[in-house]
Amino acid sequence: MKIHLGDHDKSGFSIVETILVIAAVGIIAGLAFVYLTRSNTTQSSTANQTDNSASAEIKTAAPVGTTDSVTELVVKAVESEAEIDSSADIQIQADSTSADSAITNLGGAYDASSL
Amino acid sequence: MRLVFNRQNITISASIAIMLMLATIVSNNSYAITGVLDRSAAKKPNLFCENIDTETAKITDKMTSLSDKLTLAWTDQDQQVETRFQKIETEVAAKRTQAETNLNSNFAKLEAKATTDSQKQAVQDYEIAVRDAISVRRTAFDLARQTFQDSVKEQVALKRSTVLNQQDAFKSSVDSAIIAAKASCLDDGASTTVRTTYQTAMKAARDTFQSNRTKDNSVKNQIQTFATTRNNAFKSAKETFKASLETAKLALQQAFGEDKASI
Repeated sequence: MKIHLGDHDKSGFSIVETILVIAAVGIIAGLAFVYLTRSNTTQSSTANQTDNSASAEIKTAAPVGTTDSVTELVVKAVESEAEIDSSADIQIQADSTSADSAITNLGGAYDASSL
Repeated sequence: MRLVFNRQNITISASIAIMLMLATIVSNNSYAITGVLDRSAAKKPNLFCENIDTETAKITDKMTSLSDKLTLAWTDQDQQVETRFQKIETEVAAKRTQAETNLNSNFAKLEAKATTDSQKQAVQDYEIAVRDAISVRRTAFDLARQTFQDSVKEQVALKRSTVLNQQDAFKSSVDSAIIAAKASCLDDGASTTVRTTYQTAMKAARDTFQSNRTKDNSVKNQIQTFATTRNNAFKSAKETFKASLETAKLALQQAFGEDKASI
């Protein structure tokens, strides 16, 4: 028994076939997106748990020698404060000489040899 | 006196008279020729003298323009330096606020560990001692920082004063050269030396200014010296601070006795 396809024998895809393919691709893409999103969320959650564990360790470690923590904390604050100043020194030097080119240009009001 | 009109005497006298007449004619013609040449030169001054007013006006305008630009550059510089100092103040304030929060957190932990009245009092004393040490340290840092910033501003102001003096001397030299050249042109518009004299004077003025500028590169070095002084003050304050902290810590540990390992 043969099925006569008539016009369906023409080359190319029908509208129905195209829609079916697009729908299939869309479903697969949707599933992939959901899977990847869940995967990232899980990884992020794991990372947060690791960070929290580390923080917890620091926090739980502090009370063992709180005075040492205080000393370390305030001394570090002193060092970081000094660092703010020293790191700005080069910029301050640059700022303080930023008008030098304008000063030098004063001497360029004329070229003596072409007067 | 007796005049003898012999042939020989008449001939000599006539010769002398003719020579005198010729000499007079020649000399008159000579003056006349020289006079014509001089008048011709006066009517045609050299190109330099013709354009001197225009050219010197260009130079003085240019000098004024460059001077204005320098004033603007200094205004920008003031803003840059002030912004930089302000940024330091802001960052330091933020650090101190953060340190304060962390310190309070640690103090709360210590207070929780104090069970007896003496321990609680010791913790209070410790907190006061630490806060006092911090205050002393901050005051020392603020003073060192302020001294540094004031020194930088003073150095910048000093340099500007030097530059203004050098600029005035430069302008004065240029003005003198221009005035002298104009006077020479008025005196003798055809002079061939007026231009070279003017060029030499202008070159000397410029060379002197540039030479003085080259010698003046002290600001950077001075700022480095100020920074070293400030850093030494920081270091000294930090050592004093650490010693105060250690003293406070030992006093607290003593108050806690056998429980000192817990603090």
